[in-house]
Amino acid sequence: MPKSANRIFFFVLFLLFLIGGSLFYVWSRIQVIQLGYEISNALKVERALTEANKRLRVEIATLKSYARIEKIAVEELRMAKPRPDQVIVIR
Amino acid sequence: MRRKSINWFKVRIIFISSLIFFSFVFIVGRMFQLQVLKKEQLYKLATQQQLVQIPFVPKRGTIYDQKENELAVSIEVDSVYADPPKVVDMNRTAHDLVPILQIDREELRQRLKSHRSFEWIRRKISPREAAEIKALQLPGIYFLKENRRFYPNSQLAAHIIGFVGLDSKGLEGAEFQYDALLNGKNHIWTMGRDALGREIMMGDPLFEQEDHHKNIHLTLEKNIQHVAETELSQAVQKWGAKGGIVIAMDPQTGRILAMASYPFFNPNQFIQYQPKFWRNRAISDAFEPGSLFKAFLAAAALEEKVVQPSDSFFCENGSYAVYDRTIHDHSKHGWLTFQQIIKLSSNIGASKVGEKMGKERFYKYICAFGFGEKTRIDLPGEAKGIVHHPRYWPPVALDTISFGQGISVTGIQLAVALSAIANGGFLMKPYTVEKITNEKGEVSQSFQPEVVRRVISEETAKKVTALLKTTTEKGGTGEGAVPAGFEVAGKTGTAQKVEPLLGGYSDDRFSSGFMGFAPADDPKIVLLIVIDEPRGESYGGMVAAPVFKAIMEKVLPYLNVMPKGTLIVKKESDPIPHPETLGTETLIEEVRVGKGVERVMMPDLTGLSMRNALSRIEGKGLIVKVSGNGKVVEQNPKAGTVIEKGDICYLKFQSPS
Repeated sequence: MPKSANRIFFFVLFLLFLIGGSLFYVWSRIQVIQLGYEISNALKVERALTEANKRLRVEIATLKSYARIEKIAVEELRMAKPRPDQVIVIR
Repeated sequence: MRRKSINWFKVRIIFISSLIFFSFVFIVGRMFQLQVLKKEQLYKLATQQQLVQIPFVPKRGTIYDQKENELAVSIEVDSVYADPPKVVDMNRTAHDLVPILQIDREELRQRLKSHRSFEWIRRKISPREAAEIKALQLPGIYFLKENRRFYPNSQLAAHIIGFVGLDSKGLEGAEFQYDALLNGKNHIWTMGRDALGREIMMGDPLFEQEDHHKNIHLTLEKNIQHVAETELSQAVQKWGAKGGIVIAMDPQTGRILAMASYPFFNPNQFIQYQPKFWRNRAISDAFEPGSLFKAFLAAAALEEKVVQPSDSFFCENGSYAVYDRTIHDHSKHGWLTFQQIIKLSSNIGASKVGEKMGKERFYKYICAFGFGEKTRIDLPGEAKGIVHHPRYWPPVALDTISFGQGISVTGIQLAVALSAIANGGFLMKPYTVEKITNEKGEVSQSFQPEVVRRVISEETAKKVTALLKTTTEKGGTGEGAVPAGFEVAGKTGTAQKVEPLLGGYSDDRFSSGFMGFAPADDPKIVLLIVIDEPRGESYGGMVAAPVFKAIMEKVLPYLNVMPKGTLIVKKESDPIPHPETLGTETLIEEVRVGKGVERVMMPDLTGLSMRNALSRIEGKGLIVKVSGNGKVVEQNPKAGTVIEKGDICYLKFQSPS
């Protein structure tokens, strides 16, 4: 192979590396930005889920209110409090 | 003369050099202006364009009961506001918002007409309302996140928990007392923003992860509180009374297990109630204790050895003139022992015991039991009652204070003082907060029982307990306070109320009370009931004692104190059968119940011979009564029942033939 052709080959190779490196750099930056968007969305979702969880816990606490349970037991289910002699303790 | 020719080349060089130089100076100058002189302003502008700041509303800690049930929780909700200059169609906006938010149309129109850029429409709206408004996409209408305090159990323990105002500031109860700890810090979440205004997270999040709010864990027990409130409200309604209080306290530690003041209020809508409903009467209202106070007279007299329970006093057949006053008893009594004076609640007898003890000594014990000073309970608004120094007592005061007239105390003072009798003589500091945890749930502060002072000796405490037990025995004023299967020590009280306008005592306005503890020999709970101005009946034994009974019979089993006669069955999943129950379906075992009380289970004796049956129950301290011959066909108490030493056991035998 003539010397000039060899030089061109290396030059092209160098150019390819340069272009490849540049593209890789750009790709990585795009990835970082993309991940930035994803993180910010995930943080928003996390916040919303935490709040939803809290709201559900409050709902559980409200449903577990003794006054409500007693009302349902007595009025809807026709239950009554047992007399002390009707109580059997299971251990 | 030849003019010297101009070297244009040189001129051009100088001109261009100067141009470059001045351009360079201009650029440097501009750089200096931008980077040094306008640095702050431009940085600010850049930040505004490149970063988005999301303000976070400070979180407020949760309030729990002893068993980690949520009593007060904060959740994020939307508050809706308007930017009036940006509202396009004011009439349409008002027309759309009014039916959703149920607000006054004219008031809303006034707000939308404003020239300011911020006008609240409605704060802390429900998620449904927010969703409906967001769906309308009204121009100039925006939302802000705010914390809303929510009390899932509505009125339960409202006077202890308190409530917060619109700006998350505690206004009453524990919310007020621990406001600084409960409230977190404001912080801002900073994020990058792209050219389209989308948020983008670059680098580490620029906000504090913790906002340093604390959670409060109360000593209250939701179940006991519910029982106390239910029974109190039923009693107040039954007797058409003005109000009432209940305090349940652990006498050994001073922990408040329940505290209720009727009328109740719902802290979720506190604004709909008059401020007088918010008052925690159990700690802030002082009243004359009436005969309840005789328990402390007895403690003082026995500690000072002024009287013995068997000492007799003449009770003047129901009418006793002292100075300018005549003291009456509910029923006429002649000679009564000190024990009977307490059992029958004789005012005249109590006066005579007081006279025997003297002003100074009695006053010393009144103060030692904590009357006239705050108990230092960790709740706001505590009163200290009215206890004058003996030097200011009118001559008859010693007699009247002996049966609880002429002295003013709070409910919490009575509960704390009775606890001192129940626990062997120690005055405990009452407390409602068990521990404080941080947002991760780690304990940052915990509260321990605190002994204020020893008031009476253990021996005296036992003697007073024995006296108070007689009150709840047959014929005693507090007979109606005893739940089946338990032993109770207590005292009734019926106090005439003072007429604020006319002076003197009212003939038809009373406060009826009962205070006691159970089980009498190993107290787990001290309970005070006061019903304010019941109608029709006024005696503490009739009005307040049944409330005590109703609460105790539900609460004691909850505290693992079973009444005599309870059937205790071992779980079927337990693989270890008890030898005494072989051959029976149910697995029953001898379970020791209570502390310091010898209680065992009654074994199943059916089918056993007399010799075998008696050997089975030997050593259990039962009084055995037998009838018939042969094998056991019937027994009482039944198998599995809790028995105590001294119980009578009936066995019926029958020959197989």
